[in-house]
Amino acid sequence: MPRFLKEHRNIVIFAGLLFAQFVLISLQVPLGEEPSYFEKALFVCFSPIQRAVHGLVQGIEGLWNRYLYLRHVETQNRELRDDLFRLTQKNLALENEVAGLKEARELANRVAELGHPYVIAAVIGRDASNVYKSILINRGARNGLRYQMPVVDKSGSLIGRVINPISPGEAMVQLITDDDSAVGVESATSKVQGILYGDAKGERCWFRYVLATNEQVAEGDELVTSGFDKIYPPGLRVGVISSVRTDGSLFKRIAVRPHLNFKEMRLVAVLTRNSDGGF
Amino acid sequence: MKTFMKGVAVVLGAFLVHAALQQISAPVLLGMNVFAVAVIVFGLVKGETAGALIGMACGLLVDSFSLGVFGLSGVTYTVTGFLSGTISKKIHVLAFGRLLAFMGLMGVVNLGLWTLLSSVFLPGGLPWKGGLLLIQPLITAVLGTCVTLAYRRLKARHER
Repeated sequence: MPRFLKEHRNIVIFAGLLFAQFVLISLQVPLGEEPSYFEKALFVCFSPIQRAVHGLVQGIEGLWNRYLYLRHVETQNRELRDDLFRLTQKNLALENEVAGLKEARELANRVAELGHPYVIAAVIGRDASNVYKSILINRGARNGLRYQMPVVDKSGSLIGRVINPISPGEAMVQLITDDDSAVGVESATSKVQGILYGDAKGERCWFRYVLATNEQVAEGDELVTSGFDKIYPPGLRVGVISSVRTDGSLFKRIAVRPHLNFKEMRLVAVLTRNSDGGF
Repeated sequence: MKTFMKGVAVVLGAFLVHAALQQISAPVLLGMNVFAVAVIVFGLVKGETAGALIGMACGLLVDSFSLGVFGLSGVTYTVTGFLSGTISKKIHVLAFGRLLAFMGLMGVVNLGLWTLLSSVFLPGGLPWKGGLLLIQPLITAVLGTCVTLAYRRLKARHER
């Protein structure tokens, strides 16, 4: 017998191991799902190792996600910043467009009240030498603009007239504040007439040719176009008398604060004439 | 004693790798049986008795962490380890192709035995996971071959 064991040692050990395990399986039968002590012991011994591995893997994963993977976050961050910049610009452009459309609608509504045909134009340039002299608008001959056509702002107040040169797509507008500008005007209250000149030095005009003896003109009077110059239709608001002085000459020295607002002058309306040349 | 310590180290190493893979991706464990690789390689290198012993240790360890019948994997890995040692002595597995074929065969034996015992003892069926379980012998063959070759190279360097 010992010889047999010696010769077949490996087989015997293998059989013993299998037998031991079948015993373990058999022992489990009466326990049902309850684990045996041996199984519990193995579990208790090795579960801390598994927990340690879990912690280690989690730590490595955390390190990867929080630090090493951040290079992707940096790229992502740069892309997001680029997107933000693009979207901000787009938003600003849209806001400007909306504001422009709103302004154009207000202008159209106001000018429509005047009862004249009109063309809305945007101010695309100002006089390089003197901002009080002229502006450039983005409508021209192609849009029906002609020489001497009156131009009003969004409140319907007169700001000037179309002058040459007029290109197919652009036109020059002489402002009423230009010292070469002359507009036939009258007081809205007293109907005293005269001519409005600019002085090209600021937002100020002069109401000339009102006799020094005339006592009907006073500060605060509203001036409107008279229509006698055959350029501007009558009744367009021009400005308000800011001061009236008498300096011993034949005529009064009357300063006028025009309604045109240089800061808000982005859109204007050109009053086009009828086919017969009148308004 | 030295073999025993090596066996303990192998069981611990296999368990550590198994636990790490479990954390990274649990389905991978169906295709990659680290314990099977450890048992087959150990049986090949140290003989059938050592293979059977390490197989028993690994199998019972697997059983203690699963809700199945305690001893089922134990029997499977014990037989696998024993057969690994026995068969490798009968067919020479020094050549790469033979080694790969042997590892594949042992992978099939391990999976087949486990499937057979599971079908007898476990009423719920096996976790096939869309056939992922079936590639286990293939991965076992590749991994087992790599580990064996690495072991041989290290041993040769050590002996030099």
